[in-house]
Parts: sequence; structure tokens; C-alpha cells
Amino acid sequence: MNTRRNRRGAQALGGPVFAGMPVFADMAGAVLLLLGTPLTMLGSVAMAAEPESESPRDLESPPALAFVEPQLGVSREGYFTLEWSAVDGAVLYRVRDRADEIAYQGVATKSFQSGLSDGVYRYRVEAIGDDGQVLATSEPAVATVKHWGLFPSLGLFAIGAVVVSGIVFVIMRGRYIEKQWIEKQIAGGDDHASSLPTLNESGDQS
Amino acid sequence: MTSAEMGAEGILGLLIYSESVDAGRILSQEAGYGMLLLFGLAWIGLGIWWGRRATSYDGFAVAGRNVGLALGTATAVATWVTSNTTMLAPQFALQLGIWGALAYSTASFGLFAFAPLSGRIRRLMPHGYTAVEFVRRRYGRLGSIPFLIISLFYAMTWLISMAMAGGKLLNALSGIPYEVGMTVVLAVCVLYTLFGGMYAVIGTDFVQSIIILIGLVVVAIAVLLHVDIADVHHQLQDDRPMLLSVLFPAALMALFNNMLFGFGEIFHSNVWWSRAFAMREGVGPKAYCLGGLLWLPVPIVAGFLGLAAPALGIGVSQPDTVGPLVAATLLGTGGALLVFVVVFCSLASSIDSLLAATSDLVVNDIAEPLAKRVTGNRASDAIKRRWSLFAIIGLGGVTWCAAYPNVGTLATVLFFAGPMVGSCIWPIIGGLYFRRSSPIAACASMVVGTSLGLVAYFAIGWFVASLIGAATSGVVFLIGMYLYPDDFDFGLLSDSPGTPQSGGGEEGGPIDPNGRGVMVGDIPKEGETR
Repeated sequence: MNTRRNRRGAQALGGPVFAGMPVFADMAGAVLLLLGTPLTMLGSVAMAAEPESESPRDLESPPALAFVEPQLGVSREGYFTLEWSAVDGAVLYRVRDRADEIAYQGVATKSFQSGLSDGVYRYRVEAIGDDGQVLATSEPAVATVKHWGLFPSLGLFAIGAVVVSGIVFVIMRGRYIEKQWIEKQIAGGDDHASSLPTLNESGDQS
Repeated sequence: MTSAEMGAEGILGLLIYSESVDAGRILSQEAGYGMLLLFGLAWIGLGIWWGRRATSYDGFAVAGRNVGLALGTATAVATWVTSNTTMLAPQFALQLGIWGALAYSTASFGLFAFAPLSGRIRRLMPHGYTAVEFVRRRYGRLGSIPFLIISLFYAMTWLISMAMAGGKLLNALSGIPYEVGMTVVLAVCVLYTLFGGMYAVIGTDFVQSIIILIGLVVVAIAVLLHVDIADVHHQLQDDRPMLLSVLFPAALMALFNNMLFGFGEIFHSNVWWSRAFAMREGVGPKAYCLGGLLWLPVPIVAGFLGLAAPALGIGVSQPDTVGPLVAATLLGTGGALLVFVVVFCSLASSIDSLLAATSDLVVNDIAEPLAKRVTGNRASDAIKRRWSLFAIIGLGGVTWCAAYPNVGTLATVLFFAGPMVGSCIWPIIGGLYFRRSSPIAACASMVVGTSLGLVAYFAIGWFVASLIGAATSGVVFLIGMYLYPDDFDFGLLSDSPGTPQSGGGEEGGPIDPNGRGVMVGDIPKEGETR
């Protein structure tokens, strides 16, 4: 069976996302995204409007079926949503990728694709009638996946680890000091919140 | 069943299958309305029954401050298992793979981390009601204004996302129109919270948590019986390889981001503070730890549903409904009913908690200080109780108006609050443990952390916003504490709100040991240790 994994070798623009991608290029990419295309970061990649196309099929007046926006932007997270126009009489839509494999089947007029490696992906959508006949086929939509670089991602991962470690340290240290103090107060028969200890009192500097 | 195998089943089978998955007609509308009516009446009845004990404002707002371990644990679990857990955890897994499911489960670490804080909060403020009250007394107006804005924004965002989730889920599962489902779920929660306050919330949470946990165990077992994990792995490896990648860049960034979002949500939100005040002394730390342990596997189970969708050949049109649809598709009508009940319970347990906790904020931190300024008198218990009713109805109304248009995806709505709550982490833990934490440090860290977190949200994505917010606010907080140190007396927090405070300071404001009636740390005094 021709799997998507096999096809991806030919489709991919580059190797794995973390191989040979300079940090500076990633940073520049982030700046460009900041300045130019903030909306692409919100999850789904928008597609641009598709012009009507002439084809032999037009002579038979098939129902119009087109992706809402056939040119996708660059997805940095490996997921995007394909959306297409509804066709009268269609009871099912089937999205096929470049190798003609089914990427989605359902009655909705959009499909969520995720977990994709770096590469360029092309999709067509078919509208299916109640007798199983293909009522219409769209022109392809093209999606590009280019993941964030590994080094900036690992950098943010490390920052997260440091921040979480700091929070846990403060809480655990504070809890330890407070517990010691409470035990001392209980042993001395005194328990009043007004003199509850802080990290400063035990010599720790904030 | 793989996509290829599905393709061989013939068009008729596909039509039936796909219609059931996408159009959400697994459960009939009649069955959906029946369940809605049954559970709606049950929650309202139980709420009224439990709420009969709420004779005083203390009873209504903090359940008499006498909640035990079983109820405390149950309310922590039920509140934290939201509809976002059942919808966003599978979405995370479908978007970010294994890391995504793990990232969502790290939200339980927030409960573990809050466990010791809850004990300290209870000891420091035995008469307290809200998180904003702590910040107001600890940092003064400089700290409490940004904190109140963040708290209200977060509470309303969460409330609205819950109401929207209710409408979307009931629609996806049974075809009940979004507007109807959303309205009924919200109205039921408003009604029983209105009658019973925190007693009703915690009582219904207990029943809801049991239903949720039993339901999830049944779903997990049933899914494992229906799905071959090796097939899921094989399918993902072939079609969606990044979902299994250890070095998935966006997922790596999301891991600590989600953990910090969870920390920020729990540390700052009055939902959790009001429970800390409501639990008996010594109960909070144990209840939050147990709650975290019980909650930890929930998003992993839910996340697996998202990962299983491609292997099952289930076409996903909206990622935030994949979990319930996979469960309901696999388990048939019985499964759909179970999912419906679990979803309704998880929605109700979060919405009621938010309504109760946010109404406390409105009464104690907005209405009462304003009334005190106008009349010069402290509001009586009866008046505060009445204000609570108005606040709950008002919050329900505002939520309904915002949720009705059904704008935005759940993740987008919820994660917009991420950097805001992330920037509250350090002011809260610093305020609880450090004398030197000052109003300037707290205010600056919240403002800078929120601002830069939001920039990161738009420049990079939701999966780094909380991380950037928490990291930058931590740096600013430390610098602020170093440059403008305070010397706070924690004993001042234990005063009852009704007790006259020394120093002639503004009512409810922070009072320093030397009788300064303004915000501690604002006035530099030579030679004074702050």
C-alpha cells in the first residue's frame, strides 16, 4: 500500500525540522511572523480565495466545488484546516491527498489535518451524491508545513523548566520552614498567625 | 479500522458512519432533551436541598469553613475536570501528539503546588473570602487593581468558554441547537448556585465527581477494548508522524507553557481560594493533593481519544469535538449517553464553581468597598447575601450574551487568558512567603508579564504565551523586590474584615506594622526596613 509516509519523502521540502535549520533563520522567521502574519499563529491556516477555473467539465455544468482558500500559508505547528464550499445534493465529502489517499470523509465542509512533517501538501475534495457518484471535484489546495526550529523550542523548554523549578523551590522551601515553625510553636504551646514565618526570617533572602 | 479498510466498506456504510460522526446524530434530540431535563432537575433539586444550610453569608460564600476531606477532594476534582478537559485534551493530542496529552495532564501539577499554599492561605486568613482580598490587603490598590482585572477577565473567559462548550457539545452529541443547549446548561447552574451557594456547589460537585470518574473509567476500558494500540501507533507513524515525535518543536514549547498556565489558573483564581477558605484547617493540602492524583490520568485518557481518531478513520472537522465524538462513536448509544452525562457533569461542576467564586469577588471586592465608601458602613450579612444573588444572576446574563454568538474556538478563547494568569504566579507565591514582596514589584510583574505574554501569543502562538508571561513576570518581580523591598507583617492578614484595623488606613487596605495607612512600600522612609 502506498502510504503517506512513503510519499512524504518526495513531498518534503527539507529534512526533519531540527536538521540544518539555523537558529537565526528561525528567529528571523519569528520576527517576520510577528510583523506580518500574526493571525496564522492562532491555529488554523487560512486559505486565499480561489478564482473560477475553466475546464471541460464546465460544459456539463457540474456543481461548483472549491476550497474557500486554496493557497495555505505556512503552518509552523504541522496542522491546519481545509474548508470548501457546500454542493447541493452532496451527502458526503471526500478529501484526497496527492497520492489519491483519503485524508478525510464526512458530511462537514471542513477537515482538520495534523501531525504533518515539513513539506508541501496538496489536497482535492470530491462531493459525493447519495448514489455514490462523484458530483464534483475541486481544484487542489496547497499547504506548506515548516515547523519551528528545534533550538529555539528547546530554549523555551529550558526557560519553562527553570521557571517551574523556581516556583516549586519557593513553595517547598516555604512549606518546610513553616512546618518547622509550627511544630516549634505547638511544642511551646503557642499558635498565632501573626508571627507566621517567612523565608526572610529563616535567613533566606527574597 | 484504517482509512483504507474503511474505503473498502462501500459507500452506504461510509455514509451512515460519516453522518453519525460528523453530524452528531449518535444520540437523538429527544434523548438529549430527556437527559438534559433529568439532570437539570436533579442538580437544581440537590442544590436546593444542600443549600438549605446556607443561612448566613459565611455559609453561602464559604460553606461555613468546615468542608472535610472527602467533599474537599471531590470538589477539587470536579471543578478541574471541565468540559475543556474532555474537549481540549483530545484536541491537544490531535494537534501536538503525545507531548500534547502529557502537557495537558501537567495541569494537575497546579493542584499539587497549590496544596501547601492552601494550608498557608487558611492559616494566614482564617476569615478571608477571596484571592483579591488577599492581594488588596497584601499589596494595596497598586497590586489589587491589575489582579482584579485579570481575575475577572479570566473568570469570565472561563465561564463563557464553558457555556460555549456546553452548547457545542450537546449539539455535537445529540443535535440539540447550540443556543438551546448553552442556555439550559447555564440556567441550571445559575439556579442551583443561586439557591445554595457554596454548599450547593460542593455538594453537587461530590456527586458530579463520582459520575465523571466512573464514566471516564468506563470509557477508557471500552475504548481500549475497541482499539488496537499497535494499530493506532502504526497509523500515526504512517500518516501523522509528528504526533509521535519526541522532538516536535511546538509541543516542546507547549509542555511547560501548559504547566505554568495551570499554576497561574489555580494560584490566582478565586475558585480555588474560596475552596481553601471553605475547607477545615488542615484539610486543604490533603484534598488538593488527592484531587491532583485523581485528575492526573483524566487528560491522558481523553487525549488518547484524539490520537485514536485517525486510526479509526474518523474524519475530524473540528478538533475540539474529537474526543466526545470518538467515545460516542465507539460505544454506540450507551456510550453516547455516558459521554453526555459526563460532559454535563463536568460543565456543571465548573460553571457553578465559577459563578459562586466570581460572585464572591463582585460582592467582597467591588460592591462592598464601593458601598463602604458611599455609606461609610460595612454591609451586613443579609445585604451581602442579597448582593450575591444579584451578582450570580448578572454573571449568568453576561455569560449568556457573550456565548450566544458562538465566536472563536475554545482554545483561542481560553488561552487568551494564559499570559495574564501566568503573570500572577510570582506575586501570589511571593506575597504568601516573602515579607519583601512589595506592591510595586507585584504590579509591575503583572503588567509586564501580561503584556509580553500577549505579544508572544500573537507573535509565536498560544503554546508559549503563559510561559513568556510567567518568566518575564518572575524576572520583573525579583527586580522590583530588590529595588523596592517591603517588610510586611503577615499577622495583619489574619484580621477579620469586620475588625477595626490599626493605623487608620483605608478599610480593607494593607496596613503596615508602623501604622502607615497607605500602601506598604509606597513611601520611602530613611532607615526603615521595608
